[in-house]
Amino acid sequence: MSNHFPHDDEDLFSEGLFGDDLPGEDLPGEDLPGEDADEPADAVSGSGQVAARLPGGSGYLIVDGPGAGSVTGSSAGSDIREAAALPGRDGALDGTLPVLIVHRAPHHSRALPRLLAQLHAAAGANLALGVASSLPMAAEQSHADFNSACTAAAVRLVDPLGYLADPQDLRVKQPSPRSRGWAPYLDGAAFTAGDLLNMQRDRGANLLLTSGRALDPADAQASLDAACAEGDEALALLKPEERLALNLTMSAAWLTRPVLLHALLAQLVDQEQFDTWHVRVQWPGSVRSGAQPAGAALLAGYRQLAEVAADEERRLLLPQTGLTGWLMLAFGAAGFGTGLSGSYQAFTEPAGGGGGKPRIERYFERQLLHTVERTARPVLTADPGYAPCPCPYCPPLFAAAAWSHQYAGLHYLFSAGTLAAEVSPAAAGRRGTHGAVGRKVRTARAFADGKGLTGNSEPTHLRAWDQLL
Amino acid sequence: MTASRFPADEVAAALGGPVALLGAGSFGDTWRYQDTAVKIICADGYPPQRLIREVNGLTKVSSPHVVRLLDTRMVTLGGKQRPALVTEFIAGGDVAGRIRAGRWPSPAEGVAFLAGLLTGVRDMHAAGVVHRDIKPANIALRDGDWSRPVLLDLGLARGADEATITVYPAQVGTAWYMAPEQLEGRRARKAADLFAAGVTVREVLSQRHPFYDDGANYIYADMIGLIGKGPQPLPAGTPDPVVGLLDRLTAVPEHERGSAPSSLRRLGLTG
Repeated sequence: MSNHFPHDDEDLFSEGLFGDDLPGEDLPGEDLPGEDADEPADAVSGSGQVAARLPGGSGYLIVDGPGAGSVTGSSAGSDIREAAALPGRDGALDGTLPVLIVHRAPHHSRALPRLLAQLHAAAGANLALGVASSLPMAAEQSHADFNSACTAAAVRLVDPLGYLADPQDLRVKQPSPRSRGWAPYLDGAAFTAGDLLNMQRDRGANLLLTSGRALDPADAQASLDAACAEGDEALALLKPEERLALNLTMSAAWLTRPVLLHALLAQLVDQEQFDTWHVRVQWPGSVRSGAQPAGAALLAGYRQLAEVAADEERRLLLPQTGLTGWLMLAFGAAGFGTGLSGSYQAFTEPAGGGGGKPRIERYFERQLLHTVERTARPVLTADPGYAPCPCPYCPPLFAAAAWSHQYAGLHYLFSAGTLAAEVSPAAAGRRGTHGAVGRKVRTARAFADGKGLTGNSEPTHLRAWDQLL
Repeated sequence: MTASRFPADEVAAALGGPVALLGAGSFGDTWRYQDTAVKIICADGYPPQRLIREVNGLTKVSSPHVVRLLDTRMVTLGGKQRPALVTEFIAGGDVAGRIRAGRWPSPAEGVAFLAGLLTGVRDMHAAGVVHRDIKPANIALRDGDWSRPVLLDLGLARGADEATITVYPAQVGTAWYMAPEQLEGRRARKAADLFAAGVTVREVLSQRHPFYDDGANYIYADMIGLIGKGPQPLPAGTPDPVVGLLDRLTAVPEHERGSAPSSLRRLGLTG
């Protein structure tokens, strides 16, 4: 299968981290995975292929080796090794596996099906994968093609981003006329819950969402009631085997102000009909691109939300949270979302300016749980305890003379997935996910100690994380 | 026991056989007739919405821990047609009667009572019904067995998904078992049922109300303040998981009470 998605999708966010929004920087050969000499080295099997059985047993996905990301009828080839079977949507959301949701950015999304397949090869049965597209970002066919190509993704979301219609409650970049054309509900057009569900179905989603309108902190209870009423309407319209997540979008105040946090948690616990929560929280603009929020109140709010979800056996998905979402796996979150670009790794208030600045070459250091500037790497790699990254994207990244922001981004995504797999209940051992996350955070702190990292390269979040754990 | 509004022989004639008074409430009397309990609404101004709610609530729930509705009928008393609900008769009396008589459960019976009560609350909530008036007088003990409590009187019950007919702020329920949000005149949700269940179980385990002194008079603000100070400690020897669960159920923040399923899981039972 080749993955051809139109390149005319819309960027809904403004910030880049690994060089998103840079047309012309596509990976060589990404349209034809496995058929290009420049494709990344195989992660797991050397020259042989590895295949994973598709949910329902209807074929195999090549997850490693030549052709990774493509589907085959059987694994009967002499050189094909069989990997763990791919979970289906409900298996991915049964609470036993962490879920990494990869957000589709407007550019470079053609590399994602292969990345997902390779992640499955590396993580095996310790990770479930998902993809999330922004409904107003692209035309219907583009979404459908993308979701169809992401065979390794057990969970497929097409998020309506209803909050874009609520600039009074959140600081958001206004969508372009083209985006509004793809998502006319953002213009206040008469749209029913059924219309919104149909749009997601038509675009290939298998976990449907409510609109995700922003919650109004000035009228908290009414706002929560309205969100749940919309959810009830959507639940009543589900077809057999369909599944819905209550999609909530809110400012950070909802997690930092006790009165709002208590109202939110009380509502979520009370409304037992919603078994999956998709909660997006806008971080303050002061959180730098590539960094994690270190505010104690915000982290404590996330922690309470995750703990309540775990206690109530609901699935909490935290889109656009990056490594902060990974941290919340320790407290009971079911999954987190991140993407190639900074704006998909964090849902922050848009920062002013930024245009015309030179691009910074950055690299995610998994040992440090942080993205550093390339110029800061020598002090890290000189440490005898430094472990080179085993992902398939690092060899070509470091072999090329010019820095590839896209390879750096794919390395980040791969690392986020393997980090999640390493703290999964099955991999974490006796002390569980909480213990495994704690060990990684303490190890990262120790590794950062004495390195003199400053500015964007300083992992200021680690101390706050350690305290939270 | 308060006297009935109509004499027993008139009620017997209307129902068609011997009756015995089970209780007299604000709006009506409940009689035992054969193997049923017949709640006859006697007050002329009884809100029809409330009766509809009780019927709706009972119709939606199927649980051994929630009283079973058998029939609805009209009964002529005092020259007027009066609505009546016919439910199963739970032999064994109610928890309020046990408290009045000083017949307390053993610690093990208290834990079994908690589990049974939470099961009834879970089944009711799963059917989308919030009771809003759980208290000792509204909990019968099937065959007098503490492990088989049955929730009665869903007259204040509300569908969890139905638009409320109560104008807020307003206190709905019985003050001594009300959650703080009810005392503040805010909406009573599932968490209010869990609070009331927690208070009731603490009361029978401790042989005293966890927040208030017997016979004292309080205004709502005082009651909210006392709840905020925390409940009286449970008797020594109460198992730690039960203490932890009852502390959660009587917490002020609604979300800290969790749900009935998660509470049952904390007791090691299927939620």
